[in-house]
Formats: sequence, structure tokens, C-alpha cells
Amino acid sequence: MTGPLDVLSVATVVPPRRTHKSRLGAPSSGLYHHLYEPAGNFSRPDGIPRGVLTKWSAPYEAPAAEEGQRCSDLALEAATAAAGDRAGTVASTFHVQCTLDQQIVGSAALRLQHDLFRTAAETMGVGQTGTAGVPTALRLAAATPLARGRAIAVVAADKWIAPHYRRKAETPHGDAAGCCLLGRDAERPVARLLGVHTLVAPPLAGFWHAGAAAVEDHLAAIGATCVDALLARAGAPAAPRVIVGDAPASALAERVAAAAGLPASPPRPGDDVHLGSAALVHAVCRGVEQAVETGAPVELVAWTACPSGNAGAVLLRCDPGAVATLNGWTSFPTMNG
Amino acid sequence: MPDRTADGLLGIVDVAYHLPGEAVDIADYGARHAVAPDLVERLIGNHVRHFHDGSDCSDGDLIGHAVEALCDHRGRRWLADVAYLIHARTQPFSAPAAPMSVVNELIARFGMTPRLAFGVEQLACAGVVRAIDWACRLLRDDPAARYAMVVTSDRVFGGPEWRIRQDAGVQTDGGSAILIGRENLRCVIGTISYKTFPGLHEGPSTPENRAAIARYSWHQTKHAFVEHAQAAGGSVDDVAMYMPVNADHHYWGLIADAMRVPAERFFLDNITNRGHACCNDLALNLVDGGLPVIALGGTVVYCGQSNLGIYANISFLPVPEPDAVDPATALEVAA
Repeated sequence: MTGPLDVLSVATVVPPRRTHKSRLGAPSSGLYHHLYEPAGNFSRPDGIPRGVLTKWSAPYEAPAAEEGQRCSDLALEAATAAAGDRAGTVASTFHVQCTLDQQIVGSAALRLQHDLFRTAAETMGVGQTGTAGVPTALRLAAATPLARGRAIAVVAADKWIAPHYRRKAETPHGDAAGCCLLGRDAERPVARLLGVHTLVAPPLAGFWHAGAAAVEDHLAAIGATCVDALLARAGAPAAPRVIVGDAPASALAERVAAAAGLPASPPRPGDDVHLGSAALVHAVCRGVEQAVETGAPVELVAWTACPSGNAGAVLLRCDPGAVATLNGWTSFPTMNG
Repeated sequence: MPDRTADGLLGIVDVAYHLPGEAVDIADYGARHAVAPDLVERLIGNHVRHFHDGSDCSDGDLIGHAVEALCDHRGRRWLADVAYLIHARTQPFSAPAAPMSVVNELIARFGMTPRLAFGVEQLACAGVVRAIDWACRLLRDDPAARYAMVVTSDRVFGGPEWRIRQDAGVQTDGGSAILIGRENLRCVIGTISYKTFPGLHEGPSTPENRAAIARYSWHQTKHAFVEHAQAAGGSVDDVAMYMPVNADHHYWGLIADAMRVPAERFFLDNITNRGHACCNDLALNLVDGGLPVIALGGTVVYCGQSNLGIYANISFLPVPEPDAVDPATALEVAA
């Protein structure tokens, strides 16, 4: 069975906010020592010399996982929250991750299959999409045949560890994870996926040495282009449309919303950070929340963009009847969230 | 061999690989890096000899050379017809630093405008087969699309402790480009199958996992081959050539014995000649061993064997007449 995908449930896991004084991620000494070998010159942020694990900055806040909490731990927690008692219906898993797991040889994708989605016939990681990989995973999910009653899990997680930047430009990255459980022909899904558009463009030239304004200009350009392309193929709205992007309270989000001519979802506490690969899942939660709060369907345009040159936008019709869980929303009324 | 082929023929249009620099002899390398002489002896006794060191190359460079090799062969106009670009790798570090992406680098370098581009990740050496699987799925769903390209790159980060795999393999650096389409095929892509033991998802990170991998992986690999043959509607004996990953010579002999097929059907030359290039091994072995066998009418099976508990097998079949083209000389590029 192929056709439009429904979001059956959605959840995010966002660790507590902590104060950071370094632009780089958590300084775990020796964790990625391979990156300081000669071969690592091409896999380490440009300008970070051997042994450097901090790049001092004015204090800022962003969610951060515990030192021992791995990226795959975050992913598993989000997937468990979204799946509830439906983990056994999952037939395929796509795990989106931009950062490296601190247990470098492990596979979060296979861990999800082993620890939770044991009935999944296939699982894989989706990468090389910057932090904007969830729309790509949604396209792959849309191309995946699915038997009636079965589900697809799209999971996303990132944890920022030095020498990678937690805060390269203005908006910091928060460690986070999210999961959408997807199905087809659901009776009353949390949201119905009306469209997905992905953009693969050249990376921002000189990214590692670019100023915040140049990064924002690049993201605004590819983000707005992607939203434009999505809406050009969409029909007339059947419900009020709102737009939510990476770091919804940022100036960048306002620029993309203005370019699209759509009202932004009202900012909430914590909306000043970019939740990495999970940002788009967080945006889906925000759209569903707005539908529930207003008691009427909402058409959500959720977008994400990355200096890698990747951007994606999705159009969803969010259902006001969604049931709140501890970490998100579900369409399974009996599910213990 | 009776085999289930794709709906409509999908296959490999062209394939190239790039190994950086001159081949390094393990004996010279061992002497330069104070590797224990008895280990070097055991390696050589296990048919391990040459590898390539690309510490001064990025993943984009390695793949870029392989794509340029395709351009040398085909010109450059085909680049505009690549609708899907899929990267696969084994080594977790073998990519630009987050949040950047090697596929976007390639798009910029070659002016490609694919409809979708991404990396298949966290499946280790089975990832290249999954990437080809997705290339086929996407082409099948998109009749207007002409090509999908699977690119691979893997590099070693560090000295002998990372370069040498126990006493039966050496890691080599490299990149590859595999062009997949519907016309002018070098071979047809047949059955793709997977066998998963996800309890090994942490890889060789603990003594217990290392012991389990060492003890069970040959057995799991054999089962993966047998089940692949069944999925293809035939038997293991129908395959003219098995292309394993380029390490563990002795172990493939055990598997051949267990499957009751002649050991000569396993293409093992590249264990000696090239080393284990992780996801690149598929292109290396297809160019160096598989394509000539397919041109003569044989079926070839590649085994993407990981240390994460996932195995992926893929069949490559001769092109049925009259679609067959003259088998071109295998394309190899070594800088």
C-alpha cells in the first residue's frame, strides 16, 4: 500500500537547558581523537586545531544531554514515547542523525530495531543531509510499501560533542530527539502529510569562517525557496495555515515566515534554540498543539534548513482531536503516553 | 541462475573506483611503523599485501576522482541526468564534519541537480547494498528519472592499530561511483536480500561483542548466502562468482566448504591486491573480478558483510539479449 502518510503519533525528547560557555559541544576529552589524525583534517571543523575542545564565548543556554547519555539513548527514548504500545506494528525504521554517536562504532538504527522495533523488516540511518534530514526520511517513508495496520518510524536525534560546534552562528543547537510514527489511511491521525519538498543545494561556501549574517542569509534563501516550492504544489488551504521553522523564535524564522506570507506559530519558551535533526519533529508537535488549542484543524508548514545546503518543508493538516502524551501527541486514545 | 530481477531492467550502467596514491606494501609499512614482524608475517601468510593510504584526501576528493573517471569514459552530460545521489560509508568519521555533507559537496563540484540526495548510514559495509537497493526503488517509482548514482568513500583515521584488522586484513582508503539506470547496462541488478542479527548493534565495542562477532559471523554469512540463493529462486551452486569483502581469506574458504561450492568461486584476489576498502569493495570487486564473469554469462553475488549484525547480498546478472552491449573493458583508475 502506498499513498499519503499519516502521523499516528509524535514525540520529542529535549534534555534540560544548561549554561554553556563554549561554542563547541560537550568537551569529552579523547572521545573523537581520530579526528586529530591527519585524515581527520577533512572531517573536523575547519580552524579547530589538535587538542582544542573549547572555544570560549559569552554564556548561553541550550538543552544538553548528560555526559553518558548517547545519541542513540535519546533516539530510543523519543521512539519509545512516540510508539507507546504500537512498537510491534513498525515495519520500517529510518533514523536521521547529523552528529556522531559517542560510541563511535555502534548503530542507533540497528539499536532501535533490536531494542524497540523488533518486527521491523528494515532499518537504516539517513545522513549527509545536515540537520535537515527528516523531510528526506519522510520522502523515503512515502516510497516504502506498507501493509494495512503497519507503521513506519522516522526517528531523529543529535547530541553535540566537541570538536563539533554547538553554536557556530547566532542560534545554538540543543541536544534533542524526536520520532514520528507514520501509517496510511488512519481513521483520525494526529496529522495528515499533504506534501513534502526537499532541496539539495551546494553548501554555504566558507561556512566555517562565515559570520552569523552570512549563515542566516543562506538559510533564509534555501528555507524560503523550499517553502515556496512546497506551497506552489499545494492546493488552496482547507484550514488556517501557520509556519514553524528551526528555532521558531529566531529572526531567521521570522524572515522565512514573512517571505511565505504566513503567520508564525506563537513562540514558546525554549524556541530560541535549534533542535538539530529533531527540529522538524518539534515543529510538527507545535502544529498539532495549535490545532488542539484552537479546537480546529490547522495546516502546518514546517521547514528546516542547514548550511550543508539541505532544506526541507512539509505541509500537514493537524487534527484538533489529538491526544496529549507526556512528550507529544497521539491518535491512539488507549495509549499510555 | 534463475533469479528475480527488477520490474523492468535496472542495472549498472558504469562503475569506477579510485584508490589514492601508489599501493603500499604491508611489509614496508610494517617496517616503517614498528609493526611486530610476526604480525606482518601472519598478514602476508593470510594473503594480505597491498593497500592505499589517502590521509591527505577528503571523502569528496576520493569520490570526485571516481566520478571523474566516469566522465573520462562517458563525457559530462550524463551528470545532469542523475536524479538520485546516494552515499554509503562504513567508517563513521569518513565524512565532512557535522553539519556539512559530502553529497552536497559533490553536487557543487559536479553541478548536479538531483531530486533527492542522502547518505545510507549506520549499516557499515552492508550500507552500499542498501544504497543500491534505494537507487533501484527510487528509479522504479520515477519512470522519468534516467540515472541514480551510488557513491562510496571510506578512509582510515590513524596508524597501524586502525589500519590492520587482526592478522587477516588491511584497511585501504578509497572512493567509488556506481551509475545505475535502465539502458546500456553492463549488468542487471537482481535479487537483494538482508539478514540481520541486531543484537550486535554496538559493533566490536566490547570484548563480548568482539568474541560474538569472531565466533558467529562466518556462520551468519553462510546463512545469508543460502537464504539469498533461496530468495533468488535458485541454489548457492548457481552463482559463478561470489565477491566477498576484501579481508579474511581463510574464512571465505570455510564458508565455501560449508556451502559446498568450490573455493575458486570466491573472488579473493583483492584481499592481496587492494585491501579492504569497506563500502568501496563492491565497486573494486565488480570492476576487477565481477564484470568480466558477467560478460561471459555468469551470475555474481556480492556480500556486504558488517560487524554490526547486518548482512546484505546482491546479485548481478548478465544483460539479456538484445539489450546487451559489448562488454567494455573494466574501468579502473588508480592515481
